[in-house]
Amino acid sequence: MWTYEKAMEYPVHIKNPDARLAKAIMSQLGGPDGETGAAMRYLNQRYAMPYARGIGVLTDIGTEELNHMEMVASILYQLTRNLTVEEIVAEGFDAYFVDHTTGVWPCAASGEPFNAFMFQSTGDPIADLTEDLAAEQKARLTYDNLLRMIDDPDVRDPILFLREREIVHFERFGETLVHVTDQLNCKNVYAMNPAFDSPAG
Amino acid sequence: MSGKDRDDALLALQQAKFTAIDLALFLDTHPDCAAANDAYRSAVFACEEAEAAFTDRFGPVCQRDAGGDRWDWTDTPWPWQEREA
Repeated sequence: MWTYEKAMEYPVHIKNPDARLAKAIMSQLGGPDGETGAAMRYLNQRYAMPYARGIGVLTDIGTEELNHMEMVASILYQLTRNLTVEEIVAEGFDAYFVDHTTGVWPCAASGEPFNAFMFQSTGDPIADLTEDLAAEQKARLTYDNLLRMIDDPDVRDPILFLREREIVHFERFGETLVHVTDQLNCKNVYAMNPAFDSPAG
Repeated sequence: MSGKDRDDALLALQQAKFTAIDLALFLDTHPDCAAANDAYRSAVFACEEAEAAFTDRFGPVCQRDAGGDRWDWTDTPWPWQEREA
């Protein structure tokens, strides 16, 4: 069960539209290391996690990622407000505009639609947590790449917050991986799946 | 509906809620940390105060606080519409 709150986790107040920037930032909604993939990854991986603490971390980070989807979508919404058709064409937003006007649609900066192959749910908590660590690093470096091309402080501010959360999530997933591997059968030296191979856990 | 008073009350609410979110996540992997647990309980209390202060003046943040004299859940701006005229 989730309940909605009419307040974002962190404020997004962008005054000036910039379609070119929206096209780049879009990747963090629907791209290969974006927030939609993050939320879907963690919230679907929970069911194969045999340890309550791991389920807690996946649930709470997955829930926070839903908020990050709303933050990135809000950045896109505000960056594409009040654009003229001339600006849309000049700023390279014309192909997106033809299909979606200025509606928010999850896709990568390169145009590929969001899809479930952007993340895994392997049924193996050690493999999943290892993917989660990589996912947080990849999302962090994507925000680093975006920050290299963003000057507007209104846009940098929420992006810096989102980048910091990737680092915190990486720490929490690292602690969770240690917690899970600490509970493996001492003979399970190759870290076989503790959720399926019963002598492993 | 907008203005500095509303911005300030909303920011206070966001700060309180974020404190609770981050402490809860820390406690998921450090459940025996008494200091973090105490800080979490204080943060939850601060959330309740900030949310009540905001809701009293500017309308519901949570649906459970909607519907006094009339249904006001959809009267106030959605999060991405803050500061729109």
